[in-house]
Amino acid sequence: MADIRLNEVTKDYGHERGVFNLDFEIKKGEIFGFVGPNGAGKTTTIRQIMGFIKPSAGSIEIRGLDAYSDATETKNYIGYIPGEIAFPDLSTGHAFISSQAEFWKLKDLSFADELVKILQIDLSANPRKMSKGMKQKTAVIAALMNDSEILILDEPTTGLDPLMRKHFLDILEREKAKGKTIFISSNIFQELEELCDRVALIKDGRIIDIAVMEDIRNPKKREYKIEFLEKDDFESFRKLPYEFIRIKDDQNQVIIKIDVNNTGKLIRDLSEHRIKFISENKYSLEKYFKEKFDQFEEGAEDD
Amino acid sequence: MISKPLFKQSLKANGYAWLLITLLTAFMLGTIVMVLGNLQANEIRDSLKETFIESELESNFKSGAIDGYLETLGTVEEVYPQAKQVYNLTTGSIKAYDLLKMNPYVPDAKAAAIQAIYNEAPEGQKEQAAAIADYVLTAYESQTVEEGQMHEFKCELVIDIILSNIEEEMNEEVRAAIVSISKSILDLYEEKDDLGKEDLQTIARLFIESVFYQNLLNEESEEQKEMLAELGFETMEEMLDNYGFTELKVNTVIQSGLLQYISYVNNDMTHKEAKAEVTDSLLSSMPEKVGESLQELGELNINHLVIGSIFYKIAGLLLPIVYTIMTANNLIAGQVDSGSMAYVLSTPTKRRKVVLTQMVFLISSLILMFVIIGGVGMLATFLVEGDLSISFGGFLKLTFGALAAMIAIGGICFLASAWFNRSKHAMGVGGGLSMFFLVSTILGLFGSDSIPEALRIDAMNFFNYTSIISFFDVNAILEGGSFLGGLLILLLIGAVTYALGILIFDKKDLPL
Repeated sequence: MADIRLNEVTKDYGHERGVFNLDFEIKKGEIFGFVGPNGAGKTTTIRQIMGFIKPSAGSIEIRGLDAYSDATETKNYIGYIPGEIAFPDLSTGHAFISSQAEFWKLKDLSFADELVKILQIDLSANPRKMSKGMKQKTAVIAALMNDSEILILDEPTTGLDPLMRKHFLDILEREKAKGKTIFISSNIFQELEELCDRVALIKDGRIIDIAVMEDIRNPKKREYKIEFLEKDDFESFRKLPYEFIRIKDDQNQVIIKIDVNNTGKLIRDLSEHRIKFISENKYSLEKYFKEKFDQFEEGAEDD
Repeated sequence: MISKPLFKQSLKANGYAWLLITLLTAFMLGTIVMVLGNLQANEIRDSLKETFIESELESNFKSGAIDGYLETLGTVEEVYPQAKQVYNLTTGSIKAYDLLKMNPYVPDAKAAAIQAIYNEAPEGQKEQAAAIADYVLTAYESQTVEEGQMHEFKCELVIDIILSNIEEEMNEEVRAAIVSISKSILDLYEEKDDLGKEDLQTIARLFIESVFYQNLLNEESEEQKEMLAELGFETMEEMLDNYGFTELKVNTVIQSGLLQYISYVNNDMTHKEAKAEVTDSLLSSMPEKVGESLQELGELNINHLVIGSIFYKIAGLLLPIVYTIMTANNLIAGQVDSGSMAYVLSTPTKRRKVVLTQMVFLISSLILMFVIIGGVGMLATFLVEGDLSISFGGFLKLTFGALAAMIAIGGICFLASAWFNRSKHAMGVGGGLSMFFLVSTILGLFGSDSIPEALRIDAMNFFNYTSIISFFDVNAILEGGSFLGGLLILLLIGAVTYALGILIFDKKDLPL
């Protein structure tokens, strides 16, 4: 059974705002990224998963429970970092953490203490007066402290400096290793690329595509940029049956795309030419989505 | 049914404001009670009241004296011709007898004198005159009357005759009055030979002056008893004493009243006009409106006004309303607006439990607040000497009433807080309405019965219909009227608004 399952979920706020026909599932132990520009509907989707708002149509299941009507029960499995961090009116971060522990009926705070060490945070400060980064760290602790099996993280890295972001992503890696299911939204492609098993792109409330990261990290076809020393080599190579993406005459440079299985043939061919350099044009999530996005736009124009 | 950690959070977040506002408001009531109790705020009222009562009593005395005077004057005018006639006959009989007695040829001077009187009397009165002469001379014959005692002797006879002429039954009092009046007439007649209108008026006046005070003390009409009871006295003497009416003062008052009255009447004023003029009291001498207002001012209970209408309905509600607006907002809308509610709702805590916990916090904090405020007010009454004329029961009822009003206002703020996701909207609607009710109550006070008419602006009473605080009827509580209905309505408003708040929060979309 999927940990999270969205069935044709629509939340229509009118004027084309909201989310429409979201239909996907997140398996247990999977890290699922959710990416899209501001206002695309990421937070609206997450609020529905959390049971804070009710879908206009469709339903969401969390381990078989309805996200809205069984919202309280689903929280036994969920750790949550909201998109906007604001804490209750308590005097210290400690008070906040122990209050959360009371809500969870959590007696053992050793995991929370461990997180405090990793994130290097001083919890004696008033949580409302903390810097953005401090707040974010405190929120991370609050979300993870119960060791919940499903983590729902709404742009959790905003406000963290690069070093802290690295720490945070390390923590998520560890959680993943424990078998946690993680739903993480972001508008930064790179961090999702490293972490996620799958990433969904949402735009204007609609899922444009769900990328399988394995395919992007190890694509079947790869691009290489090759520059030749002499014009002769360049001209001779051009006559070979490769898929040329781009050809730059003045620099004796080509960009080709080949199936991974043909790599040996390419090396043999290249050994017969004098080349200045060869480099792989790494495929990225961003590139992938740019392609998908362009297709989507064309499709929209065709309509 | 409520969440302990959430209740703790609410307590930590709102406890200081609660404590400060509770202490400040309790301090306010304590101070008011001490000031009113020790400074005798009712002193002015009492002196005002006394002045009115004194003036009213004086006017009463004068009116009574004039009535008595008129009655007496009637009697004087009735008695005078008789007295004059009988006195003349008496004098004539004695003169004739003395004269005839000296005549040796008259064998029976008495019979001759009677005959002479009979002869001289006008037709129709001959028999009567002879009878009087007989009566007089029988008495005269039997004793020796010295020269100086002659008038007294004649008076005695004349008064006897006058009394015997009166056919009606008389009690001692009336009899004594007639005797006294007749004597006065005869004394003056002896001096002046003939009496004019003014002489008779003087006789009547002097008579009233001589008996009025004593009559006042003896009189025991129902009307008088009622008046005494109303003013809180058992006997007339006690009352007169209390307001400083000595016999001399009473006499001076009625003498001046009667003299004034007589001179008005003699100067062609009608009886009614003259009496009205003389008996004008302080109140009736003023224009009607002013008089009524002053009377009302005299009856105004400052303690009831300040503690009831001003503290419990306005001043004592202001800070608790501020607390309620802030707290009701902090408890729900503020946390939804900032997003901090997400931390509670991302734990296995039911929405209904959250909203119920916040309701319980708000209501219980208001209950405790008013228990403390009312308790301080009651404690303060121990520390003051004077009588506040508000009992413990009164304080309890006022405190409960104010609490009911706060629960209703709290319900409105709570509903707004549960309804809106934005603090500013919740505060605007909940706080706006609450403040509107309070300000309406302030404006309405100027048009309410609590304010003496002189200061009242009747049109302002309209505002009492635009405030739910009006259901808290402090006047009914203090003056003894039905107030439970209003308080029930307030509690009902509370019940409906809290219930709606709970239902709405349970179902709405939360931007967390």
